[in-house]
Amino acid sequence: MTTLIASAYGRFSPNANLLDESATEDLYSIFLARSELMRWSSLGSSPTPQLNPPLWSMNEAELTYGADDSRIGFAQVGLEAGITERLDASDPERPAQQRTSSAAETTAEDAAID
Amino acid sequence: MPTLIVEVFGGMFPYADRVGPYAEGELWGIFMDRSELMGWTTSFSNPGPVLWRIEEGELTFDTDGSQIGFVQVGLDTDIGASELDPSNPAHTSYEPVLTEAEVAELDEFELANAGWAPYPEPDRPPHTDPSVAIPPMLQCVDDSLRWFGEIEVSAFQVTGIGVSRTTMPHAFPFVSVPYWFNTTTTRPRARAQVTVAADVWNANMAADIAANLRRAHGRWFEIGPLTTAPPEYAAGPDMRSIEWGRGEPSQAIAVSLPEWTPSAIGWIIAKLFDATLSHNPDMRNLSVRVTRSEG
Repeated sequence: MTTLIASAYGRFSPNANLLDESATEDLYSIFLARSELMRWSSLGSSPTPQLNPPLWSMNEAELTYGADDSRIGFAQVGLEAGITERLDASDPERPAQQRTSSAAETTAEDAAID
Repeated sequence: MPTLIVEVFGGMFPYADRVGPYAEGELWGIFMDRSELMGWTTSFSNPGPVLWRIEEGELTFDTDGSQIGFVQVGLDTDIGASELDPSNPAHTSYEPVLTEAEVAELDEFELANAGWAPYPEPDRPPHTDPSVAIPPMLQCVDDSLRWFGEIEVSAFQVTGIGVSRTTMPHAFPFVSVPYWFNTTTTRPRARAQVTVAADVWNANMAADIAANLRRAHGRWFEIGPLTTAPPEYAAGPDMRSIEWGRGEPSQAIAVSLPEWTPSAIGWIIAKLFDATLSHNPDMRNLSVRVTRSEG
């Protein structure tokens, strides 16, 4: 399986009410929610996977802003959804890998910043 | 072919170096670029799995009225193109909105203001479910408009023409999506009015829609009560081929959103499309407008 890991570096000012002891969400759930809403990933299965297949499946995501280095957080996804292989096979000039990477990076950034 | 039109209303302050003298056509290109970068469409001619095909897009902030711009897409993914049945008229032909004789009788003013029309393409099932395409489409329109300048959005309107809910079980529920809106402790909520127009309408429809939304949204979206909206909030753009039903008089659903963003607005419009089309299988044309309430 092909895996992509997107890490974000810099400074992070958390929203206190979203990351205190009572917080119910983490980067995993927020990254997944954003991915589903923007139709880059889906928890549901489809009997017709050729129609709007997801770009990736979720592996891991974690906020790391309290650690020693400057990394704020990371997300890891699997690209086994099928679109990459199928598109590459049908058109060698189609930049499927680049397409997946751009959306994954945007989602990680959205989830970390918002 | 199923068509979605997203209209954005409010105010726009364009960047001088990004809006040229012929700006009206420039939204098409930026929307296309953004859609392709985010994986929602492709400019390649080969059939591929995408959410939409772009048909039109225009900036309209410098014209009369409060509309900033609009984008029109087709939900035909071309996936079924190789499976077309030449003997099935639905796969190989389409009915024009006006006959050639009717077009010949239009005067110059009518030709210039003929209004919206679906793009004349043969129907090629399967289509993207409108409720799947709406949230990313609103996000993409918003992103694209902000490329041209600062905007303050007062309303989004989504109109589906020739749409129907697909039988795909992947459309809803999106199990994880509500987590995105679990931010009510840090952001001010937004009050808005939702108006609906459809080609199939009955007296109980607004109440039914509100009840369906209330059941579906839980604590992050507050739905109801039914209220009366100003006439300018009415959904349903003028279209020669569609007679909209809207309820009496200017019926609206009051809502409270966790945030005034394309994501929250797109989510509630998508849920409304899903619920309404599911409960009205004969409905093919549906328009929903979400207008922010003042105060």
